[in-house]
Amino acid sequence: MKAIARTILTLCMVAGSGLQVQAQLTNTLYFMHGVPQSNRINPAYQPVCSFYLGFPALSPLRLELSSNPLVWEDVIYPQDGELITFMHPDGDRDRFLRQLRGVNYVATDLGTTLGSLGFRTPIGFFSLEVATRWDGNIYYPGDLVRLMIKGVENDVTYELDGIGADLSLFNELSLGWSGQLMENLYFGVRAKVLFGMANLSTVSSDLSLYTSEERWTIQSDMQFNASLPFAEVTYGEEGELPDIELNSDLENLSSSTIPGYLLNGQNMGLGLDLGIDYRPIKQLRVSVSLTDLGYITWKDQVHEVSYRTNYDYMGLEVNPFEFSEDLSFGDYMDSTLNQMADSLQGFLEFGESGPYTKRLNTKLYAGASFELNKIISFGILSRTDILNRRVAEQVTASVGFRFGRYWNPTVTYSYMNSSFNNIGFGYSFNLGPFNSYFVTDNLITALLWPESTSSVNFWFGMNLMFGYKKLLKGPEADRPLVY
Amino acid sequence: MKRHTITLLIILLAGSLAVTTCNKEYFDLDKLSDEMELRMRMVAPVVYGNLSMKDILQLFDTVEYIDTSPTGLILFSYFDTVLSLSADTAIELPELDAIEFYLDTDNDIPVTIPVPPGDTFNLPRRTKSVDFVLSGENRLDSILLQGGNARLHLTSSFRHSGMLMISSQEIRDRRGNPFSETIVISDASGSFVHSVDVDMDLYTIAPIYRNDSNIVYLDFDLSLINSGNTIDPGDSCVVSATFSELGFYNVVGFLDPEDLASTSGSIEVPIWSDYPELASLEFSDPRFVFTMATSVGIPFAIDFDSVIATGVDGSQVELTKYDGNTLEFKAPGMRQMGETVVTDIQIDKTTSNIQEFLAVSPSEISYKIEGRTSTVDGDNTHFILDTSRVNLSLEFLLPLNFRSTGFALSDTMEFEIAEDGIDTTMIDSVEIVLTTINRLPIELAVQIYMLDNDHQQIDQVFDDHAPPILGASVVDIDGVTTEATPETTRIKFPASKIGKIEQTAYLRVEATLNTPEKPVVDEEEPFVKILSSYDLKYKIAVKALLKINTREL
Repeated sequence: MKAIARTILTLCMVAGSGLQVQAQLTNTLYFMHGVPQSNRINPAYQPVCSFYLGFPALSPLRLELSSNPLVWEDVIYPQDGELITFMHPDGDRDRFLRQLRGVNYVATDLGTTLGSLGFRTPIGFFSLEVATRWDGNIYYPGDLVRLMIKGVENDVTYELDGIGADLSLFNELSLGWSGQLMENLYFGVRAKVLFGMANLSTVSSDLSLYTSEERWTIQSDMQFNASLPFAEVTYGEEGELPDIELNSDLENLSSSTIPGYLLNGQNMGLGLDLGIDYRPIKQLRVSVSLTDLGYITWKDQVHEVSYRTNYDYMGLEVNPFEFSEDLSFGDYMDSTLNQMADSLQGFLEFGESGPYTKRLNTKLYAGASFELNKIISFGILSRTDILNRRVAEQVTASVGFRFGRYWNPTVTYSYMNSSFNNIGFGYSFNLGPFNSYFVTDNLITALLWPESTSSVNFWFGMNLMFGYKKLLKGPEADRPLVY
Repeated sequence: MKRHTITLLIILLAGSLAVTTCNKEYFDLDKLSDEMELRMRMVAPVVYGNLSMKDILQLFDTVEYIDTSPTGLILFSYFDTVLSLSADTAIELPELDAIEFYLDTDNDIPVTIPVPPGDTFNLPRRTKSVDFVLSGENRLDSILLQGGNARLHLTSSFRHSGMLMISSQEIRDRRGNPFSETIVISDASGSFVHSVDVDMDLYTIAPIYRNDSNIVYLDFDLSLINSGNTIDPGDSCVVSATFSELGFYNVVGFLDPEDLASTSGSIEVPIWSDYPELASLEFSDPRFVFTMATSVGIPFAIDFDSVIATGVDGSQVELTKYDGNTLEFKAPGMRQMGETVVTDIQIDKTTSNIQEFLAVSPSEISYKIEGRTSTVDGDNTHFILDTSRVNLSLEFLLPLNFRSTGFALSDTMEFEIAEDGIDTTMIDSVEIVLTTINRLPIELAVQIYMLDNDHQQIDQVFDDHAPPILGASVVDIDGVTTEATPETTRIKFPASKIGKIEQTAYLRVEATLNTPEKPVVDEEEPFVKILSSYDLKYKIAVKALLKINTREL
C-alpha cells in the first residue's frame, strides 16, 4: 500500500498542468427537465412532482472517460489483414504524432449521489443532495510523446509545459430552491458546501527541454500542491522522495473516524448555482444558468513539490590525460553522471505547505427548446466552461420525442472536446412512482464508431416520484418528464 | 405510439449492430500483432574539454623536462649538473710546521754563557721559512684565516731560565700587528717543557711569493739568564710552531686550483628513445647551454673534448664547435666579492654542427670536460671566499620550433567495448561529431583500422581520402599562431560498419602530424612555434539512430 501511495505521488510529482478539463455534466440532461436531477444543470428547473427521493448511489451514478485527442484508431488499426499498433514497423508514427496537441489529457469523472430528495412547497421547490465526486485529469504534452517515440533530435525544443495532473475527491452537500417569479419566469439557486477528501493540484507546469549536439537545456518551473489527509508524509533530509504511509485507522474504519474523512472541515469549500427559466411563448423555453461558482480551500496535510531549474548540460568535461589505472574513463563517467543526476534531483524540493484554494470550474449554460408538435421538440444548448486559462465551448443540439407518459427519448448531437463525433441520447422511463433515466452525450457514437470515440459519459438514475398526477392536470400535463 | 417506439428501437439497434460489425476489425485483438519497433534518434553532447600545451606534451614526455621561455615558447630541457664546488673543496689550506733547535752541537765541551751570572744573554735571531703549498700554480697574496690553531711548543734542557719569542711579519692579527708570542722559561732545572696554543681566527697570512713558492717566515728570538751553569753537550732547546686546522674567510692571489673541473657525465634524452618517430621533426633552434654561476673570484675556462650523441640505433656523432672547444666563463672581480656572476654560453647551429649532431635522434648525450683558470682577461688577482660556490650546468634545449611533413605515429591496441560486449543490432547508425578549435599549428590526420583476432583488417573508420580531423592554425612569418582553426569532423558508422564492431579485437591507429604546408611553391616548409598559450578545445557529440524491435529482443 505504501509503495502504491508512493508511486501515485511520484507520478503526480512529475505531472502537472495549468490546463483544466471541464468536469462533465451531460448536456443531454439539459433537455430532460422532467428528470429531477436536471436541476443540477439549471437550479431553476422544477421536477414535475411534489416529492422525489433518489435511490442511494443511483440518483444518479455518473461516469465519464475521455481522451483528448487520441482515440482507439490512432493507436490500433487494421492493416494488411492484421491489427497493428502505431509502433509496428509498418505503423505510421507520424500520423499518430500529428494527432497530438500541445497538451493532451485523459480525464475520468466519477460521481455518485448518496442521497437526493426534493419537495414542493408553496414558496417553491426545494432539493437536497449529498454527492461524492472524483475528478481526475492527467495531462501529457505532445512533445513528451514525441520525445519518447522519436527520441532526441538535433536543435529541437521540446515544450513540455502542462505536464501534470489534477485529481480531486470531495463530497458535496447541496440545497437548492426554485421559485416562480412571474407567470413564465422561474428562478433557482443552489448552495453547496464542499468537503475535500484529497487533492492534487498543478499550480504551475512550465517545462522545456532543448536538445542539440552542443547542449541540452532543461528549464523548469513546476509546482504541485497536494492535500493528503489520509496519509503521513515523512520527508528525507537530503531531498529524496518522501515516505508516504497511509493512516493506520484507514484499515479499521469506524463510525468515529469516517466523518473525519468524509466531512473534513479543514478542506472546506462553498459553491453556488444560479439559473433562470423563461417561457416567452408556450412552445419556446429559454434558460440560462451559471453553475459551480465557488472554491475549495485545502488546508489539511498540505504538501508542496516544486521543480525549478535552468540546467545546461554541455557534456562531461574531460581531460583524457587525467585518466590512469586508478581512474578509468568509465569510472569518471559513472561518477560524473551520478553527480549530474544528484544535481538534477537536487532541484526537486519537497515540503509542507500552507493552504491553497482551487476554484471550481464554473459553467455557463444558455439554451432554448422549441416544441414543434406534440411528438417532436428541438433544442439547442451552448455550454461555456470557464477554466483557469481559457474557456471551452460546447454546443449540443437535440431532438426530443414524446411517446406517451412512460418512455421519452431524446437524441443529441454535440460538439465537445474538440470533437464533432458525439451522438447521444437519453430516456426517461416511468412506471408509477418509479422513475429511471439514462443520459449520455456520446454513447451512440461509441457504439457506432468506437474506434474514433474520444469520450464516453453517462448518467443513470432512479427515483421515486410522488405527486406528479396532480401536476398532470396542469400545463405540463402532456410532458410530465421530458420537456 | 407504441408502434413508433418499437420502430425507433429497431432502427437504433439495427444501425448500431451494422456499424459495429463493420468496425469489428478494429477490435479483433486476436489479430493484434505484438511486433513493435522503436526507432529513436539520440543526439547528445558527450564530452568537452580544453587541452593545454602542458597536457598535450605529456603525450611525449614527462612534465619535468618541459620549460617555457620568456616569450612563451615551450622547450624541452634536459639538464645535468656538470660541476658543483664549494670553497673548501676548491682550496684546502695546508698545515704549516716549523722546528728550531738551539745548541744542539757535537761538541763534548760544556759551554759557558758569555755573560755574568744573573745577566741576560740574547742569542742571535733565527728565521725559518715555511712554504704555503697548494695544489696547482698559485700565488697567495693574503689569507684571512677562519679558525685554526698555532701550537708553540718548547722543550729546554738548559739549566737556565729565559724566554723565547716567536714572531712573523707575514702573519698579522686583526689590528695589523705582526704575530708575536713569547714563552717564558721559568725553570732552570733543565727539564722545562711548555706549550702555548694561539687561536688564529681573523689572523691574516700574507705569504711572500718567491720562486713560485708562497713563503712565510717565522723569527725565533731566545734569551737566557745566566744561572752560572754551563750548557753541557746534549743540552738543547727545541721550539716547534705548528699552524693547523686553518680555514679561511678569503684567499686572494692568483689561484689556479688543479682538477677543479675535470669531469664527465651524460644526459638522457627520452623523447627520442620513446618516440623514435620524432626523428622526422626538424628543429629550428636546438642548443646546448653551459651555465656557470660562480661567486669564486677565479675565471674559468672549460675545454670539452668530447660531447657525443648516441642514437637509438647506436650511431654516434660528436659535437664540434666551429671556433674551438674552449668556453670562457666570467667570474666576479675584486669589487664584486660576495656576488655571484652567471655566464651562459650557448652552442647552437650557428656555432656548431648541432643539426648534424641531432640527426641521429640521440637518446643519450655524453660529455667530458676539463676546467682550468682562465687567463683571457689578464687579471691575475683572484679570490675565494669561504662562502664561494661554483656551479656549472649543461642544458640541452629543444625549443618547440620545428617543421614536420611526415611525423607519423602508429599503435595497435586491444579493443573491447564492454565486458559483455554490446548488442549492435539495436544500433542502426552512429555519428560521432568532433568539433575542435585548434590553436596549434599542427594538423592531425588519423586513420583507425579495425582488426580481427588474426590482426586482419576488417574495416577502417575513415574514408581513404578523409580530410584531417584537426586543421592546423594559421601562423605568421615567425611561425606563431595568429588565428585558431575550427574544424568539425563527422565520423559515421553506418549499420554495416557497426556490425563489424563485435568482430573487432584490435584497433590500429595511425596518426600523421604535419605542420602547415609551405605558402609558396619551392619555398621551404615554415617552422612553427609551440607556445604555452596554445590550446585545443574540443567537443564530442554523438548522434545515433536506435532501432529496437520486440521480435529481435
